[in-house]
Amino acid sequence: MAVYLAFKEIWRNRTRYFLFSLVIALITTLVLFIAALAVGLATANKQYLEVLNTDLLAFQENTDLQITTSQIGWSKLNDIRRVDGISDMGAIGYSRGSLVFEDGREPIDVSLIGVEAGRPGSPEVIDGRSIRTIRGNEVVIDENAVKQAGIAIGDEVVIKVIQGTTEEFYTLRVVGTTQAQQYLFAPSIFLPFQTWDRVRPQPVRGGNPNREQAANMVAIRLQEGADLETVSTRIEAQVSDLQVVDKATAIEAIPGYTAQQSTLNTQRSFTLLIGLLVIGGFFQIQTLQKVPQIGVLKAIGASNRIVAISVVSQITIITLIGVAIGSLVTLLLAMVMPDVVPVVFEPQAIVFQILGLLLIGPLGGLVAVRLTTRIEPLTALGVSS
Amino acid sequence: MTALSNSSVISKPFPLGDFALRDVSVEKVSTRNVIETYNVSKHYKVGETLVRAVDGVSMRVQPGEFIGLVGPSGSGKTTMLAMLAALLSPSEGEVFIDGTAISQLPESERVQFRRDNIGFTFQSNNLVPYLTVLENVELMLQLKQGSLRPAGRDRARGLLVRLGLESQLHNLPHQLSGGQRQRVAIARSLVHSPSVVLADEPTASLDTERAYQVVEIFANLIHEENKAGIMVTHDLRMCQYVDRVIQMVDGQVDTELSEREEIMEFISCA
Repeated sequence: MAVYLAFKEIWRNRTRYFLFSLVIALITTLVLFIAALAVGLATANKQYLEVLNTDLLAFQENTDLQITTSQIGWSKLNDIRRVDGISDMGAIGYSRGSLVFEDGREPIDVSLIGVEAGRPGSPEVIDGRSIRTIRGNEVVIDENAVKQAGIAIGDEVVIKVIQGTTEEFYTLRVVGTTQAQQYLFAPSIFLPFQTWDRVRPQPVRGGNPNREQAANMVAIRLQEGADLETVSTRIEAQVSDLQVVDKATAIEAIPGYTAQQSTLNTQRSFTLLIGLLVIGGFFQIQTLQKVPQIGVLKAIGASNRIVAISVVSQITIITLIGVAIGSLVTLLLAMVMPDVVPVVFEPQAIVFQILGLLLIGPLGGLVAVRLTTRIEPLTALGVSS
Repeated sequence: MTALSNSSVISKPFPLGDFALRDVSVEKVSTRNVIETYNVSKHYKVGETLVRAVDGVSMRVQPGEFIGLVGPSGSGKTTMLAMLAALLSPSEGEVFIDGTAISQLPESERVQFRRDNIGFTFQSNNLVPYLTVLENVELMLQLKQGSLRPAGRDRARGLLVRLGLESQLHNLPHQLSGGQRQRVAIARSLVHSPSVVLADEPTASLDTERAYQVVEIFANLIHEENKAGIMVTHDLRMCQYVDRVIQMVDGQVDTELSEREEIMEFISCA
């Protein structure tokens, strides 16, 4: 009965209700887009760390877990290896470079990641082969580099870095590709560690031959059954000047990551709040316009329950339609969005957002529902109690 | 106060309007009162002043009886009607509808009682604007029964046809004239076979000709269906269709007339 009344009213006033559902659709598109942007930016920042097959990560102490400033001397790596509970570990070096093209295309900024072949930190390839050498001129590139640069296995890539005050160019061969592993907003190119040490930007061209070779980060895999907390404490106790954390902690420490995510989450929350207020305001005005009509309905015997369910049903239907339209528009937008725009539509995140959007309708409409139940049937007679 | 005789035959010729009506004679033999009020009062506190909107009203209405409740503005007619409709509880006294003391009922039971036993026509905003004529009348049956049965659908249609609205069944209220809307409201007030039918100024927004038509139909149906009907009206001319006139002044019953000659004289003097 109540749902019947709701349907009838929506159908008779379909233009008005459809226009309002478009407002909800816009809010839906905005919320989903911000959510996708949050995921996309987060992914662009942390993808490499997320897929890294490791239990712990070691950084130099007092560097705030910043990979760009952390330096772990090679001698310490052997000390780490000797700690009880560790099954394997791999040195990781990080720097930035540019992928340049002979045909004059715009260079692409890339993350240069030096890894030890077959050790934690070394990427799993999906095509071709993994890095085998210690200092060979071979690279494995991630899918983002493949997409952006149009590179294939067997191709030669030219990496440009600044060494001292000069630009240096290094030609390397692509031997394999790995799944998308962006790091700090750049596609990743994996090199043998020694090759990376040679290629990476240095304050002096060729570097300082007397300095101890260092990694920026060490990926540590534990023995089966070993406790993360226990082993990390043990490492810090046995090897000096180290800070050992799990992946989640390292991700949180990525520069700007937390600020970026909290900003986007705040925007998303405010958009949902605006949606709630807009829906609540619209249906409250609708209800105020229908006070005499609702009074008559109650006077002839419609209970508060029927009237309230009718209002909630209306709100739910309109919200459903609006969210459906908004989701469709977002899907279409996602299909035409250029790859450079960092939006990632993660199914779980999308479903979560849609559920939230569906809830704001009935929540926002609670004011209208309350108003409806407070209308006296005496209003039909123009009398007050 | 002149009481209606226990057994009386009312034979009235009904003039034809733009709708078809038959000449009907109704024999009323019932002695059972459908509506009974005992010393009913309603008062409100306005600041420090106690306002007695209704003051000690006792009345009885039998099935098939059509009452005109008249009086100047502020005389308490609408308040009295609201109490009879179980929309308002009296401050003193008791209201019985079909033997049930309605003011004793809790709110939820009063809603149900209203739904099952009372039909109401209002001065305005009678109809749900997004339901058709037929749907508006069927609404009453859906409220009472939860769902619409074929017999109910037939009754709704039949009432509307009798009221001359056969070609407007699927029109929306805004497509009807004022008189047509009131006729739909009358159909809705009767479709669920209540024992009591109440009307609050049903002709307030109608021109004279439409007003006569509406009240005449109302009276005919009340008599035919043997309901107890009460109509609140400012327009004394409409009282030519009632069986009894109760005039209220300052919250009390001032005059009660049941003889036709008395009623017609009352109308002509007003």
